[in-house]
Amino acid sequence: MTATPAPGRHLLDVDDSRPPAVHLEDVTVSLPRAGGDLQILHGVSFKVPEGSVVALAGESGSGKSTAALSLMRLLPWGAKVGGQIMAGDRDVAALSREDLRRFRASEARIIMQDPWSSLHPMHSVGAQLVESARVADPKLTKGAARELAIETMRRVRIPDPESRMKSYPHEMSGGQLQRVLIAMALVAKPKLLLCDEPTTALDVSTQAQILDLLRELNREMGLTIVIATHDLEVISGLADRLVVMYAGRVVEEGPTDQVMSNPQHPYTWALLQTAPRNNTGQRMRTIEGRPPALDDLPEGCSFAARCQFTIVDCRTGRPELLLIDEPRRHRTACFRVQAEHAATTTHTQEEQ
Amino acid sequence: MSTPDQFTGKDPVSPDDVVLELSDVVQIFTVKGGSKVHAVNGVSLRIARGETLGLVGESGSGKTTVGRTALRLYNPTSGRITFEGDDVSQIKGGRLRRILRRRSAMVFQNPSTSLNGYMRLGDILREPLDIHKIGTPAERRQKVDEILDRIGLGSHYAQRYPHELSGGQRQRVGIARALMLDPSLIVADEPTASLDVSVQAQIVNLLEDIQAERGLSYLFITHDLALVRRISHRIAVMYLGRIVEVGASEDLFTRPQHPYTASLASMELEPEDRIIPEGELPSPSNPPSGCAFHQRCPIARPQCASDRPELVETTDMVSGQPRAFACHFPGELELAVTDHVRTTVPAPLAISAPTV
Repeated sequence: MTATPAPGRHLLDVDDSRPPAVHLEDVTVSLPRAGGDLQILHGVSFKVPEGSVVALAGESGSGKSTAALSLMRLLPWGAKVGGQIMAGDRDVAALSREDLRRFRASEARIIMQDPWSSLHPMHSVGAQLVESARVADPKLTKGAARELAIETMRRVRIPDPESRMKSYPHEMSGGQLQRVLIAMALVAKPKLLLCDEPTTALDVSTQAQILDLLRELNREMGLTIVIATHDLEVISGLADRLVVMYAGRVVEEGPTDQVMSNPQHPYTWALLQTAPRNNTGQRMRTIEGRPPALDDLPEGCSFAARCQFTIVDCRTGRPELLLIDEPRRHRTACFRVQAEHAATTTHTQEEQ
Repeated sequence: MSTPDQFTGKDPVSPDDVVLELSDVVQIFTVKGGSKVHAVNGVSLRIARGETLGLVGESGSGKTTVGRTALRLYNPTSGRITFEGDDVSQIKGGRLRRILRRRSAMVFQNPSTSLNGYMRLGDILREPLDIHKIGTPAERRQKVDEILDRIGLGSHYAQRYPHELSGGQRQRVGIARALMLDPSLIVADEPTASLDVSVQAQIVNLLEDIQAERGLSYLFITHDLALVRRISHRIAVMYLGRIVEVGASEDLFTRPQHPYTASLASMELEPEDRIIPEGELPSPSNPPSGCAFHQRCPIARPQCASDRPELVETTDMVSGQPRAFACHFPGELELAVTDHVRTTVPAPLAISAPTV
């Protein structure tokens, strides 16, 4: 594994001196549809600092999974990708077939939502782990790969790994399978781990176990992790930075604790408010309406129709994602928050 | 910090007006090869009129089976199910339809698969009325229009098909269908699990409003703890086919007596305060001896492996509400923070009348 020492509990600030592990710059993705292309991502930009955990949060249709999958170019056939997707110093969008295969085999690995459909039902778990290890490192002998597989299974706390190697996926529970999938990713000694809704299909206590494990892998091995999820509870305490997406765009980005305790975009705020644990009133607070259809996005801010702070400008112009907190790299795409922020900064400057 | 009433905004119910009562219900399934699975192993519970009973537990704990057995979608192996005073545990045919089916309904988890894609919404909603021969065709049509208005879709949706709706709208139709016969009990099996958070809240509001209007009872099956705490009057916690703890929502979450409940309640706290049980739910076809939780329990002692604790009924020390738990060492595993502070998230902008 990488020799990076365990970082502190939180890597709160983006360190510009080191190149980010992943850097998306103005990424657009569109998929062919019968009536013309459907644009899923509209200029998504964010950075994932090396050794950090970054969460992409949003509702279904927000583009969070597409953004995560685009990091490995795992997009449906015919998808058109624009912009730059940098992993380290390489552009994933421009990789050749063979380079892409190697990149997926050894550098970036993914864990999907549903562990039952992510494994081959007719091969033993051990055979799949060995295959995964040897694809990443073809020089590895079968015996060495087996050793590594057992050791990694122990690392992800699967009890009795030697005998578990012979088990088939249907003989194991969802939580165990998700651990197997994490082990399968780890045997490749990747630099980057993508998780697409890693705990959605699991029970609460299993969920907590898996999140604990991911946290440990990040803190102890310095593994860079990108998680796409709709569950903000999952993210708190795990992700260093939070990227909130809505209708194919990033609407807010910043350090998780700051975004969750003091959101700077009306959508993030509304989303946090609807979570049952924050819903203490007589009635549950909701976000009225629903996200706009991707083939029928409004001209202005996509959230304007559901936002309680909307002004005329919101319906005509589209807000850019701008920095509002320089040192902590907190960005928001809301006209009114940006304006208010600009007003207070100039105000304090005048006072000085 | 808050009493249950303040927190959930629930109307108090009279515990003596019982709509559904299960006593010692056992549900055994025979699986391929002849082995038997004790999915539900002696469950007793009551739901009062106008009450929401939350039923929580891991997958495999038997919570869905309890819901389905309560509505006689399964035939219980033994035990008694009493619905509005009538013993419905073994009745069949016309009597079953008249007594139970006519007065109860179910809302399913996945609205995309529980609505017939070939039927128009109007027909889906009218079907229960047709089956139970309620009203004239004109009255039935009117009732469909009324309910479509009530769930916020509007009567013109009667001509639409399920695929034309979003997930949240479909679940509204699922709820509307359950309401067509004016039931006194609705069993809702994970009704919000497949929905986005913002839509979830809309569905919960709809369910709560309808309960306030019609005084019906819910058996609310879920694994979403924050939601169940919010929506239920009382909560029953299931583990491997048995109820291990029952009590008023706030009592249960702030002063859990059973260690499994404590671990569930701790999931609401900060990550470092969570009590995460080791390992996994044992198989219901091969349950452990003694207390089913003892292998995963952080406070287990030799006694726990040998004798199974019975469900003991008491009253809560603080709230005085009745509660019950099945543990030899109740209350020993305590939460790091009992008074969970619910923070209000500050708005990004001053809330004022928007200048449109």
